[in-house]
Amino acid sequence: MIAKRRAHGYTIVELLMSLSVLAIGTAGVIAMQKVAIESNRYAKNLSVATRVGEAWADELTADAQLWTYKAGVPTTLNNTDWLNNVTNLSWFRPAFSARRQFGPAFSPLGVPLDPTTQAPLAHFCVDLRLAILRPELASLPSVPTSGDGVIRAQIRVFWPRDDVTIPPSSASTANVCDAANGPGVNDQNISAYHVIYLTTTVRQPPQGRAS
Amino acid sequence: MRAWFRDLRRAAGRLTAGFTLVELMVAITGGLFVTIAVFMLAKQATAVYTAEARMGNATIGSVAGFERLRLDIERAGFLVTPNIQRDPNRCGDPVGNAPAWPTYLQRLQAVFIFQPAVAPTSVLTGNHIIPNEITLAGSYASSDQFPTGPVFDTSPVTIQLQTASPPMARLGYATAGSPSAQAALLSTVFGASRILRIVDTAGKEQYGKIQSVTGGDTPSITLTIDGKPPFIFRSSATGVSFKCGVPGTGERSLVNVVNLIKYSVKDMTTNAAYAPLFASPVVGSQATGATTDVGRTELVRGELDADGNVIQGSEEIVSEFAVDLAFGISYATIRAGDGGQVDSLGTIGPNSAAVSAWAGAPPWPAGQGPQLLRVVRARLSIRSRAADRLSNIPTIGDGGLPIASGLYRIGLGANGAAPFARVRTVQADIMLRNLSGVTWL
Repeated sequence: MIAKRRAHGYTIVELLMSLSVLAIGTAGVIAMQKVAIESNRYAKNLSVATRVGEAWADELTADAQLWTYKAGVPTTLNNTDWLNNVTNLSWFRPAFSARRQFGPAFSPLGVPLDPTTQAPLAHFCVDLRLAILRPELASLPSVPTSGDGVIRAQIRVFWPRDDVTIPPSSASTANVCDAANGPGVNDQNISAYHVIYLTTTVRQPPQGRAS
Repeated sequence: MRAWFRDLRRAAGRLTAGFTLVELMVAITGGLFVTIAVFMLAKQATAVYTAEARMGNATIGSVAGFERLRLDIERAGFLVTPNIQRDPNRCGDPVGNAPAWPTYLQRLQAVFIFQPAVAPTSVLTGNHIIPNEITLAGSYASSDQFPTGPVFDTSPVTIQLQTASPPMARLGYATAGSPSAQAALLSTVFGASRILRIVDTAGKEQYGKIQSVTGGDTPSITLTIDGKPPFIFRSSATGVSFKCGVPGTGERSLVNVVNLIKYSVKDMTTNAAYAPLFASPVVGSQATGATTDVGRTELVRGELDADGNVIQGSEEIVSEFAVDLAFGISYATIRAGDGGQVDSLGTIGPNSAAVSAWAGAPPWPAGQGPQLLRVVRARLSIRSRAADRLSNIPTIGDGGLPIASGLYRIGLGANGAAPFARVRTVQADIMLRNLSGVTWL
């Protein structure tokens, strides 16, 4: 009886089971390849996003160079490109500064983009949240010079998850840095994005210092 | 019962009779197909993992190299003039250059960006890439200024250091076992052919070129005997003429070393110290048999002497397979009559020729110069070792993406042709904190 069964070859069940095992193994290998490629891409995006955040931290420090006063005029933030938004206590999208060639939108390589001509290339976007830690002393008329103001700057760099489609807004093309896109003022849409946060403090430079 | 045992023995006999030739051929053929399928799958999987591992290496190389570059750029201008030719605190005449100063010291600047006209290898030329070079000046070997004893007006000039000072204690000078060990310790900071900065008690700065150091109870730094640049004592005729110089015996001045750090993308295959690195070139997985190590370039960090020559043995590879290095700047403009206040900030992107008007070699236009730099926009590109792509991504020269050639992929064939290696590019703006308060023109 045993010998007869063996002489009949494999049954369809045995064949299907062996094919299933082979398919599962093959699928596992392919899935691991996909994971490896996606992990590499995520590592690249994370490193670029970190550089973008650091660049913003340093640009805000440079922006504080303009946190000065004009002759006969009290110290002001009006000269700055972005720090003058310090009264805005929520996350906001900083404007592109043509003179600094720097703004919220960045290419996949971390190159700052001009939104008027290069918006569709945006892959990373930046929001800021600013708060005064110590007010500038020049707001006091009795203080002739200033240089003690400190602002805390929070930087949020985000880029869309792979399985999320960024919808077009007012622009004709989908753009991660469109005003309607992003994690939102209270992080309410954060699940659609990868996000990193950086925090730095920016100090008003002492007036008239030369080294 | 006996018949049953006989049937069983016959069945057992058939089982041990082995496979027929047809069964064997079918089994071998089936096994061959399965083996081929598994082999191809394994080969393809291995190729993908190898390529991704190399891209991972490129990513790590770009991040590690960029962080090293970033830290050095951030430190530029530390305990050194940002522009010796225009510094109002400088004592001496590098502009008149008489007698001749050491070549680089004569135009010492915290940040110098050089845009060469020729690429270091034909591979980069074929891809329209000519990497920039950057030379940074600052006290990189130490964070201290060392108080001096008397300065001896001899030929060569010798500057004695105080032994009972916090910087000497931090250096561990007293605990070094012998004068030669103390000299060796001092030379780790004040190395021969480096630049020495001396700030006298009046706040004026002079610079010299280090010849040697000595240990013992009266440690000293000796400047080069050629007297270039001339060391100025306040009481000398030159000091009277310039209205500056080391007063009296020169005691209680402060000295520190100035290092010149240069980053460049260059071919290191002729550097004997790195010969083992190039001993086993890799053949590109999808290339036409060409080794993808041919024409390779690296991000190299080296130290220069006061004449601008590379100090022997100082060059080190920071990132392998670097293919591009580019710099832009942000600068401050100062409005005259406004109390030396920064009036505005402007930016020039990487690879623009306009960078040289601010960060290039002198002369600079009026109202411009390296002392007014505020931010360096640095960009570094590292390629994967293997060329694993057969086509390029069109860039600005090909009517494609508005980015420079070679930032996504780089062709390793003749004139930038296939095969292509993938490239990791990182870019960031780096604030020059040591220059933030400089407003003199």
